[in-house]
Amino acid sequence: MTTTANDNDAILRAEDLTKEVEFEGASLTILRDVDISIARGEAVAIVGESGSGKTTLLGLLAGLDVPTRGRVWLDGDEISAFNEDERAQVRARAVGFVFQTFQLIDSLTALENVMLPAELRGERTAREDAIRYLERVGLDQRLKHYPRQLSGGEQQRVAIARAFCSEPLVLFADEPTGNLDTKTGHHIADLLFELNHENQTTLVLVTHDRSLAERCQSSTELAAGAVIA
Amino acid sequence: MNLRLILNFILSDWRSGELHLLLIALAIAVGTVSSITLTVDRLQKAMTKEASVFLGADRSINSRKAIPDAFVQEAVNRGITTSSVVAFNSMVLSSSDNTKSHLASVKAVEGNYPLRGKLRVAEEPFGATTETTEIPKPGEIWMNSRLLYILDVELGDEVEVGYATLTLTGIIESEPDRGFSMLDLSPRVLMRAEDIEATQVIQPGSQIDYRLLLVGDDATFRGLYQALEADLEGYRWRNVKDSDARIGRALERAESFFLIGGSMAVLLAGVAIALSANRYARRHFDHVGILKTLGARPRAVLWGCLGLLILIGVIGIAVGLFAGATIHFGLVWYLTERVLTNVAEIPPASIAPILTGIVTGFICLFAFALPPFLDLISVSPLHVIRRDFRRAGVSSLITYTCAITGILGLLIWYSGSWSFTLWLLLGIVAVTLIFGTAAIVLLRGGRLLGMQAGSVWRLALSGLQRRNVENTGQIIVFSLVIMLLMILYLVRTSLVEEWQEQLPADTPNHVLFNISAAQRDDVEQFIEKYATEGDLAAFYDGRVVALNGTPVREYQRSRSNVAGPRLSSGRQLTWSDEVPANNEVVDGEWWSPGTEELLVSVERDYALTWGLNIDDILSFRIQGQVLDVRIANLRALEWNENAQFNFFFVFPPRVFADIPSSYRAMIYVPDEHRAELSQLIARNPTMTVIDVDSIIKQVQSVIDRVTMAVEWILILVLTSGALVLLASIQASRDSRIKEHALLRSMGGTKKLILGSLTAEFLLLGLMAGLVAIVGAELSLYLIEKELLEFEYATRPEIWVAGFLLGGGIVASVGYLSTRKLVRLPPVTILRDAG
Repeated sequence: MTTTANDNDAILRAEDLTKEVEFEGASLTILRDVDISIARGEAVAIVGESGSGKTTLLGLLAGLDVPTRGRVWLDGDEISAFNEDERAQVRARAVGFVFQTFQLIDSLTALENVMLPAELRGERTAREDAIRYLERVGLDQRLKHYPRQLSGGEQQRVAIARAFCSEPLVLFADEPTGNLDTKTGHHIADLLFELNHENQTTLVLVTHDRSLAERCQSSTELAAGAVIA
Repeated sequence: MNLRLILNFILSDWRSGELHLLLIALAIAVGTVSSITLTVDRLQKAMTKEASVFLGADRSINSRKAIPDAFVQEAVNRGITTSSVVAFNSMVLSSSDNTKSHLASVKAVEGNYPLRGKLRVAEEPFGATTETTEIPKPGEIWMNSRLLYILDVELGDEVEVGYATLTLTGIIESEPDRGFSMLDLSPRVLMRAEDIEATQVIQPGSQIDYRLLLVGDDATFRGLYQALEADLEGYRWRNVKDSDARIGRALERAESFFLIGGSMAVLLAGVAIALSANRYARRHFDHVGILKTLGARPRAVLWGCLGLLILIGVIGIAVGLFAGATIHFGLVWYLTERVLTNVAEIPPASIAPILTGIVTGFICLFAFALPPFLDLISVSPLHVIRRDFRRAGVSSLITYTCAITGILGLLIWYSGSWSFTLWLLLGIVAVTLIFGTAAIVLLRGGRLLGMQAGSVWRLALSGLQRRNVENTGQIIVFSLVIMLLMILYLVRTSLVEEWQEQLPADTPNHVLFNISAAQRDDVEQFIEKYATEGDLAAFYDGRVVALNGTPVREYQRSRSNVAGPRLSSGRQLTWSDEVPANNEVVDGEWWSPGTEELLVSVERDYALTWGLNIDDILSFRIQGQVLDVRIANLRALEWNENAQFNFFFVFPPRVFADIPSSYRAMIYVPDEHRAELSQLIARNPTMTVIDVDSIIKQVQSVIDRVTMAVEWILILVLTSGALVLLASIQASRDSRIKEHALLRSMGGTKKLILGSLTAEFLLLGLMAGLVAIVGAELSLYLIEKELLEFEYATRPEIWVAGFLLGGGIVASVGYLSTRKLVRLPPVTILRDAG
């Protein structure tokens, strides 16, 4: 177990997290008794080999999924006890994502993609905020471009703008540079950490890239579903 | 790729549900088409068979000249069954009392008469009738009840026809091919052709009607017609449609309806196949990319794709044929067991509809599914490395050429008409262009509105905008489906209403002729007491001889360019104190009852044709007297549309004061009062009665069948329409899965997303409904006016139905088919749901 802050200061905390899935009639444990506590404003890396359970842990911490056993608190709410809709409300208020495969909507322009979370919350200033963040990630000339007209690095920058635009308390990034070449990956990582710093966001970064993990204040290593360091 | 590999792919695709929709679409296309064609084929055969009762055959050759033996020989050589009928008028006498005689309509038939339908006979004069398959033997004669009464003879007595003496062995009340010519108005006598010679009534100059009845199949008749065509001068080749105008029209219009309905079902099924094939192909770009990186050559991929298509085709078509046959047999069972319990069995199906189903399946598959599959071949192996890598793609020219050629081929083959196909296609292209533009405008408008709306609607409208290309397509498809359904429903309603109007439940079933003035009161009382509907009118023969003093022939010559009924021809005239029912005075005034003035009321169109005006003086010759009468008014009336006698000329009663009159009545007598009718006829044996009840019942049964078939076609087309709807919603499923997961990871609640989904489909449906309404109004105008020759009128109900159908169906189908997607946990986004 890695504890980097007092439990009281933690914006994100998990106890005894276990995730089991049914596979061909048998129960398969993909995450076993994980405890974690992350302080407000901290950047934490979750590292491990492929199949070690990193992405599963991220899903549970972000309230995208529920554990088989164990509890998760996010910004004071025990989200593991919440139903899907209650967790959605927490996500809308407090969580942002950056995905490995960018996850932009093909039929929306860069601007519209960034506006989406704010539209979801029914905010009317969505457009101005979105333009501001796209300028911040250096895409002010590409507002009307569709994802297919953007390079991989540009798409990930749009995704980062989208994540920060809703000013989340916690940003979850799942292998954000995994689909990019080294040079672009570096630029994206720089951008992510810069924005994280500017916005005082808590960052949970899943990666198998040791150099990226080293840029975080702390890291948790998983192997075969259990925390080993 | 080898067959095993293809089979493996199909199996894994089947397990993952990838192939379901394509297979279902194909199966439904084949099922719909084969069940429609099977049902139409058999129902049409049944209807034609039923209707052929009116001819007593499938075809007949009629003439006033004897039918040459060569005709009979030609028909027999082709395997056609023939039967000769000779009809003439002759006096019939009682052998025991030669003072008792009457003019009869004699029909001399061969042993196999009638070839279609059955005779109705009675055990005693005016008694209850039953069907029989027998006919008189040579030397015997059957007569109508009235003749037995008039001649005062009984069964077993001898009667004379010309020089022949025949034994009376039966009482005939009706036969299938009873006509309405003057030769058929007298009481019926049925005898054998073998006895004609003995009667010696056939002399040069005698008025004789020769008929050769024929039974066989359509193809053989075409051959026979071609063989005889050159020699048919002076002979009338008649088919069922000629025998009764109502049946002919009903059959022809039903055929048009089946054609429209069937073509639409094919088109809808094609669209469903194209949509599902497209989705299937899109989801397999990775698959093919991987195969290519592993070294599969394009040719191998092509064979693989073709193999896959053919396998899908075989399975889909087999399932479709099975489903089509099941629907068909269910329908036939329903029709014969529940609806038309009293009709003869439905003829067996032919192989043609099965072939239609198979060919339709393959054409649909290759025209609509091949282009997206060909797209797969051009997938670059780079797609595996970079998913956003744009593949070269099959040019849209090839795609559209394939689809259009396929549609054209199918429709031409299906309808057998180039012009119908071209018009239908042009209509669809125009509709697509107009609908597309309308959809884009509506979507844009929606986006602007969405900016001001609450969050569910805002999200729904932005959802609509997000998939604007797909949505334009969906609006076109939905509106086409809704429009087609409304058109079919309305055309069906018009058809059925028109048929029913032609034959209301109390259509007169008896016509009485030769009612004398003395018998008039008796008939009038009978009508009042027992008939639910009736019209009794005086009939006089007369003709116009002069107009304002100018001899009518001279006047006619001055207007030689006029077409229509001649002014100088003999006409039937009547009198009335009141405006006849269903007539309307459109110019001048009706006379006051009991007027002593010599006046006439003229039918408006006839007056217009011949330039007759109010106050013109017409001179009539009526039974040897010439009367000058002044035109008092013009009347408008609908010929043939009401159950009553109609006249060009109607006079005040005073005009006929000195002329002996004869009356006719047209009445509806319910079955329970037939005995009273028999008593009326027995009391007044000189009256002639024609029983059209059986004919009307036959017409009604044919119309019931056609109506049934039309309704079933509507249901089948509706199924295809629903499938297209589902296929097009399924086509947007992948992008929706990704989007919902993303929206939910961003904190969208299930309620919000479901609400916005429903709102999105509702809006989509309402837009489609609006477009469909406009399209339906336009198309109905064209179809009803040009194809079915109805009068067009706008229908407010389409406006209600369009929005209800559009909003309701699209919203519920959309909601039901996508609500499962919302249930997928948002964690799928991390597993790359895209």
